[in-house]
Amino acid sequence: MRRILISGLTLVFLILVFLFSYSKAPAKEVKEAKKEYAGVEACQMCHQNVYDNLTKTAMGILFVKHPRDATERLGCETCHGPGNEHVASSGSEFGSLVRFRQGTPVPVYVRNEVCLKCHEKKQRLFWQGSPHETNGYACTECHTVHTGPGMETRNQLVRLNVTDTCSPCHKKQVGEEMRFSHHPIREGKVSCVSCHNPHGTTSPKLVKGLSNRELCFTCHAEKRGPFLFQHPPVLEDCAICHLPHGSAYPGLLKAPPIRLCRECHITFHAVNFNQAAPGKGPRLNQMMGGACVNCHVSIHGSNNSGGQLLFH
Amino acid sequence: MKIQKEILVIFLAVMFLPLTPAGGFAQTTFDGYIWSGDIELGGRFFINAPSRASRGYFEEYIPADVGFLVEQMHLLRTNADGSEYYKFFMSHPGQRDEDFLLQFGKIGLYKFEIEYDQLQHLYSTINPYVSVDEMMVLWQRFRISGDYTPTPETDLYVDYNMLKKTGDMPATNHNGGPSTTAGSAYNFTSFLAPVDYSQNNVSVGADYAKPMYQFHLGYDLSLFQDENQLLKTPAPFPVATAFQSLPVSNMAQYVNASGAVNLPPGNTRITGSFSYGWLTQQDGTIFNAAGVTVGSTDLSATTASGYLSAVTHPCDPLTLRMSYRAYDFENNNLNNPEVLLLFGPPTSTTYAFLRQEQYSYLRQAVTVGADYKFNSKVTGDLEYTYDQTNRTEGLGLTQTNTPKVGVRFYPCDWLSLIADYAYVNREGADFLTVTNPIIYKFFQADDQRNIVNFIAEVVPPVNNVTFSVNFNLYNDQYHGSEYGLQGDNGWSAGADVGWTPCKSVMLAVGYSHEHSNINEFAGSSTGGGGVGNLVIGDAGPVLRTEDTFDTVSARAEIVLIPDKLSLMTKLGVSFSDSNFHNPGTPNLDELFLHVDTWLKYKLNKCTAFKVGYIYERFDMTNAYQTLYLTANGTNSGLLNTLDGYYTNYNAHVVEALVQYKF
Repeated sequence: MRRILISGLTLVFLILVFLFSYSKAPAKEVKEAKKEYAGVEACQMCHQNVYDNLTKTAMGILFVKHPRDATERLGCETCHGPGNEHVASSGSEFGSLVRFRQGTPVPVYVRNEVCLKCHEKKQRLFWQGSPHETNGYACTECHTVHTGPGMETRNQLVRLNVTDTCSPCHKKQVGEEMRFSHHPIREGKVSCVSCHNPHGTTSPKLVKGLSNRELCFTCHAEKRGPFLFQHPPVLEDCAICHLPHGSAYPGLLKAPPIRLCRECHITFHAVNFNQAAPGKGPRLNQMMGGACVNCHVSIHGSNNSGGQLLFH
Repeated sequence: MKIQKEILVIFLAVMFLPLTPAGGFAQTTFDGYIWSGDIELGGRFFINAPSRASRGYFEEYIPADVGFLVEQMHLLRTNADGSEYYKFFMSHPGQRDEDFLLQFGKIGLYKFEIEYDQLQHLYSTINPYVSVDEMMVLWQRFRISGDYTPTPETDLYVDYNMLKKTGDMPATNHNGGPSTTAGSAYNFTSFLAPVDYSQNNVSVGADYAKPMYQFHLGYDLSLFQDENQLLKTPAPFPVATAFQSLPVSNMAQYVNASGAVNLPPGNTRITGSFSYGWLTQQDGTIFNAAGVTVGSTDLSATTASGYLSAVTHPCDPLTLRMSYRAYDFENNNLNNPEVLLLFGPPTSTTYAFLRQEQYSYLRQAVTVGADYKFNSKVTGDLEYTYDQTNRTEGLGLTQTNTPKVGVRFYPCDWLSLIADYAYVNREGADFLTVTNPIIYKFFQADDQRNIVNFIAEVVPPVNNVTFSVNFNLYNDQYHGSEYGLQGDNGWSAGADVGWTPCKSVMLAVGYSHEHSNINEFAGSSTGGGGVGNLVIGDAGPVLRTEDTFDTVSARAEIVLIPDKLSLMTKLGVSFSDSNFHNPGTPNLDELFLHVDTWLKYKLNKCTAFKVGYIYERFDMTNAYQTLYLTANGTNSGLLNTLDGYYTNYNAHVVEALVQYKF
């Protein structure tokens, strides 16, 4: 199994190397198209406020004051494209200018391509094919380029912070974080990007890390093991038992503990819900607290030689 | 509540502080650098404080200390053109949720961050058995990260993250078996487990990017150290078999490589990623249930994961997507000679347990999809996903087929309608049959799931109103469950309205309702509760668990006097109800309400005064009190679980802050 996987991925790697060697630079070089550009000074004449705001941002400082290459030296036109036609028409014609405001006729993928020219690496490597890209979201729906709300924010988000940026679309998760058991999201100590990379990942649900396991162990390494006795869901996926955004039950559990365990284990000595049958009745100390986990306390794994039932 | 004199003095001092600076400055130049920043400080007091015993949930993550408070401070130093910067941020210094962050760098070349922050996890403020009022684990995090960009194409990074957890967390310990008497109990004992964990995570890597291709190489190391290996349940809970093996120290290492290439034909992008990881246990000692060292071992596992994706646009309206991901978990412990020595030959019962827990698996998923833009108003999506998990040691194969169809419809500029439907068919095969109650079988059942999602967003071109509704539905039908699972279903619906009637008023309100039902056969035994007479998945009465959740959120931002006085208020309400439909199991209801209202008055361009009123309420039904807090029925008081001591509270808090920009 392992051999097949490694062989397959080696093949993939070789294919990528082959493709690298065949990939070519864009046909139109900046210097060839230079005559179509108007220059930063021309933009400033009508858009002084925008210029002032832009030059307070990292990108503005880089493009306008410390460009590192010919592309960055174009200033505003690095992103908006050649503006000569726009200037010549005194602003009435937009020509091939790329505009980013909501409602612009410029398609989302064209706008995003502009950003990806420089940012399609690191966190954004897997943007294409990711859920946000597939659903037609523009970079500028979450990020603002010309100004940020304040220096307290990172990443030039449109809204005050990460949670405010994600919450307009992800209302279910916002509701879940209001529940009894929750990560400290509403308290502001963690945010959506603590666990997710909204720009695309190799894991489902934009989860950072190779899988849910690796993600959760970033902070909860005490459950990582390997243990002498493992609990299979811990080996496979924490989300089998836990709801990460919030739950009405203790420990972010998906269901009341007494019921959750029953989904994969036969009832054994646990609560008999059948009140009518003779000799039956609930055993409250198996229902309260962690229910089964009151006794099977090492539920995430045991390193005790007597821990096969996860008691010790 | 009677306000303490010292608090009153601090509060009044803060009130008058704004009067001292006569104007201030927004930024200044000193020693060739531009300095700017702001600070918010003031005080906090309770109008009505929850009792000490009731503050457990109120302060679960964030302490609410009364008295002087530095809410936050920013300090920024830049060179003349802003390209070199030092930023310092802190919030709540001296409190258990304090945070300090220093960032410095040169834009386009390098940046560094050093951060220290804390978080408390307070489990309870009531503890009748142990002389510790607060059962709490303090999380301390220290992070250093650096990025260096020698050329626009190349990035190098290093990130070090240290997480220290100290304190006590509630735990229980099994100390006796069940009686066969009807309604009798397993016995367990509550105790505090010591927590002294250190986790050191280091990541280093490099990225190289050209417009047509990008590449990434990285290495991650995570080292977890637990200072305690074994615990004997301390007094006052001395029981014979109360030795507990605590979380084991361990280490994980990963190397990973990712790459992508953009190909002009069809505007195609291909990405790939491969990662290989080693997991090892760092504790050498194995104890038995009596706390005696019985051996040592060297457990380990490896992981290999891969991802390949291609997205292409063969013609303008059509996008094709394909992805393959694999995650291989290879367990090395069944052949570990120390393990074999401890657990005897493969024919032993204990070894059977090991096989069922120390297994390997390969998880693979393939997704193919297509988006077609019919015209400027309609886009359709088709997607199909097949995934499977194949386990060794005869622990079964799980396969899932998921066809999905979606449509995005934009009939006019101000209306968007998005809907999708997915059918998920999950099947399991080759699992162990349940022959013994304690044999694991972790496949729930074959399942057929239908999922519908719908969202409509309306931005009418009048009155600055936005409106959205959403609806989700799912339905599971289980087949052949040996645990009596029958089915579950649920739906949720919500609506949000935002209204900005004028430049100075912004109002928003949202409501959502979520409902879920889970049905399974109630297991029962045929004899007086004895395990020998167990009937698996019997046709007993159906156990139904019904959960409902209602969430309301509202927000208002109103400028009362332009450039002077503004009001901002936020409301969040969550109500949940879990109904077990069984007289023996009371419903679990809980209400959480949080209102946060701030009045801000700007004295001048540098100074503002903020007064905040915070109201929070938490109500649980007495079901929790019955199940968690009290000795009930035939159980003794010792059967309480320590982590159940969250009680109802009402908190009225007032905060007064001065904001000064310099």
